[in-house]
Amino acid sequence: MSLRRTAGGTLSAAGVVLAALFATPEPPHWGAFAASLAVLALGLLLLRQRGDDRKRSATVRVEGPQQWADQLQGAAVRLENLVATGPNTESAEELDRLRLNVFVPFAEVGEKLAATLGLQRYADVMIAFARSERALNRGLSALVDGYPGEATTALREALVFLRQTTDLLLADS
Amino acid sequence: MLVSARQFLRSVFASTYPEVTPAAVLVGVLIGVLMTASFSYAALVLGFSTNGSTVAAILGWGTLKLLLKRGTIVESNIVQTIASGINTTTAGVIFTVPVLLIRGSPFSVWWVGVACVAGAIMGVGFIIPLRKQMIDIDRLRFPSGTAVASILKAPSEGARKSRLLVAGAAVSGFVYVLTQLPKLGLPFGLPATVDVSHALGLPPYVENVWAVSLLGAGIGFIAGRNGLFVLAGGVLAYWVLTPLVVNLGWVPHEVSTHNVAAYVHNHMTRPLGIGMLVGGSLMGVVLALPAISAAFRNMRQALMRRDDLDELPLNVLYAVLLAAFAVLFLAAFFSSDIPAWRALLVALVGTVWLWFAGIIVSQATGMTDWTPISGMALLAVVFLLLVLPKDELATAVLIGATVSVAIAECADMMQDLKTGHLVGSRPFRQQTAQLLVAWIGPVVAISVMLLIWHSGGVNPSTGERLPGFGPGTSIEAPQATALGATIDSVIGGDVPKDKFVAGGILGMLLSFSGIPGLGVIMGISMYLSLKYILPYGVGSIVAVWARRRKGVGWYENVGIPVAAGLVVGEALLTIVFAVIKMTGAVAP
Repeated sequence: MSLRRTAGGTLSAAGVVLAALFATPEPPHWGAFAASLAVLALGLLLLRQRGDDRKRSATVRVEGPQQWADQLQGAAVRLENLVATGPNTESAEELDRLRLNVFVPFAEVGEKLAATLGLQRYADVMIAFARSERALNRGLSALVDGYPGEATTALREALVFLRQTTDLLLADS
Repeated sequence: MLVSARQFLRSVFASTYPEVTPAAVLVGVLIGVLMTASFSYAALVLGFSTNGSTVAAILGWGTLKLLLKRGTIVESNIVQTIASGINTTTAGVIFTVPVLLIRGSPFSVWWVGVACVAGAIMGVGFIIPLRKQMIDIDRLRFPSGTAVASILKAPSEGARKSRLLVAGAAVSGFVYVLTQLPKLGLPFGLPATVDVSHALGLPPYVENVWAVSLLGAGIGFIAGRNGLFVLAGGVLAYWVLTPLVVNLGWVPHEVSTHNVAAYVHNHMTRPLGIGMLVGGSLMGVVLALPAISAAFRNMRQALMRRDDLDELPLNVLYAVLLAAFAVLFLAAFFSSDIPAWRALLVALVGTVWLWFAGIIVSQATGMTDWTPISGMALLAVVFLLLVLPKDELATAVLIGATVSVAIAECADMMQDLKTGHLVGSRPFRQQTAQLLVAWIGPVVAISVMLLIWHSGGVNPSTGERLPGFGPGTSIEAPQATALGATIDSVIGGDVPKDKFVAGGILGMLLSFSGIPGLGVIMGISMYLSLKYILPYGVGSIVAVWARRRKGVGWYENVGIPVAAGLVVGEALLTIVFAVIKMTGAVAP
């Protein structure tokens, strides 16, 4: 695995440097350029195979849709409690924690989740998730601006789309 | 089912949480017009312009909170959306249209104005449907947009974040002032750039110049990991390719030793970078087709539901785009002697390139914060001269200006929508606001340009009208003069097409690297000047280190406000010093 990674990285880097180099003279050295592209392509192929292996093992371990759905459901419960009690100025800290501990990590898992779900379904998941995240941000803004009514409305919206995200994550899995 | 006009208006204006208010619109327009007028003048004098979202955010917040004693975070966001949406067109107009006046080419200023307005509207319209793909799905960072969100939120989110932001601004402003002191004739201060290659005893073609810019470091910090790839691309172009090219004897012998680095950049690596940008973006769009199709499906579903106006409806966008295309065709037809079919072809080529260049620029801005407008304008002129007679310079510049204005609007709209995402604005409201004011920027910029042009007066001995700007006058219009030289080389057939093609293929292949947008990022780093890449790269290295060592919480709540402050301090003082330079107190 490590050897493949090293070989992939070395070939990719060499391919990029050589392809760029042979493209610079006037006219470019097309033959050498094509050969460099082949080296680059081989390097990328090796790196991608390694990436696929890593994604598969990561999916099995901790970053599968079910695990993320559980995390998001936990966040939904916390959000539901905030909405039920009526958010106040102290809720801003709780919302910020929620954002940093659940929303930001989920947003960053991107590529791995896309490999598991397929790009089309991943896109649907992220559209719903981003809507929830934006509503959460609106709730936070409204709260610190002193508009608790708007904050409640926004957090309700965040809840709706967070549940939609969870449903989409678990669909057919 | 379509949305009624009443529901549309209610969705824009009615809210219990003030967002699109008359005060926000008025203040936004006022700041936008003032910034456009002053930046248009600065762009003619210094060849300098800025989108100014950060400055607009500070001015807007200050006007609402301190003068009008009102303003929410989302209301301030509407102010900066409107102001930057107006001002962003300045560079597109001032870096292109003056070339026609300087060269004395016959053209209709009315049709140029109409085409630029159409371009501004098309730019906003074209990019809106890609918001979901770039911001929701691809999660592009848009560093300036992120910085503006931090600026808008900091005052409301507590004294700590405000203090961090102000501290960052004070440090970067102080450093910037120090770099300007030598220009005031003072014997102390810091140089604006530091040339390390001399100190290290490197040959003159190994460029190692650092801009003393904390703004660059701040933007690099916010860009995060992507900045490392920008740095890698810069290292490849300047420290690997250039020495190899020189030592292999591929640089013409007539190029002097001290011009070798500039020659390699301008004639070799920069065109290659432009090709990589285009190829990387093209493949990026192909690979993102499932995501784009999901985003469009989502928008079509929203169109059918009357109760969910989250995004500007697709039918409104289609109508606006069709009207703008028709206007572009009319402008191409009536401003030249070409037949209708050729005008239609010109409008079609201009529109297709405008759409694609808008995507390229938005992606590049989203990943790195750099907006390669001049490279895209160059390609626009190249494409247009393929379908136009060689003597139709005015039409080529007209469409080139339209494309430049449009892609600036694309990048700005996306930056603003990213800010909106982070502060919780409704995209629908931001999009409507920007679409309604986009026409103002070209009108103001062209008016200022004409005013200055006619201020040249008349030669008393010959009775000839004297130019108000251009080579040989006190206002040199450097960017327009440079575009004129570029057009000459394009007409003369000196276009590095081979390098565009090679770069395009390389950019496409890099899109399969597994690193999102690698072709685009490497392309932009080969296109840029190294002196700005280096501090930017340092910012990115610090960001990656800080995220690992201090955690996401520290990065978001401490690092980002400080970095936003670094951006604000230098941005504000750059404008202050630009004003001082224009008064003649300091050498430009």
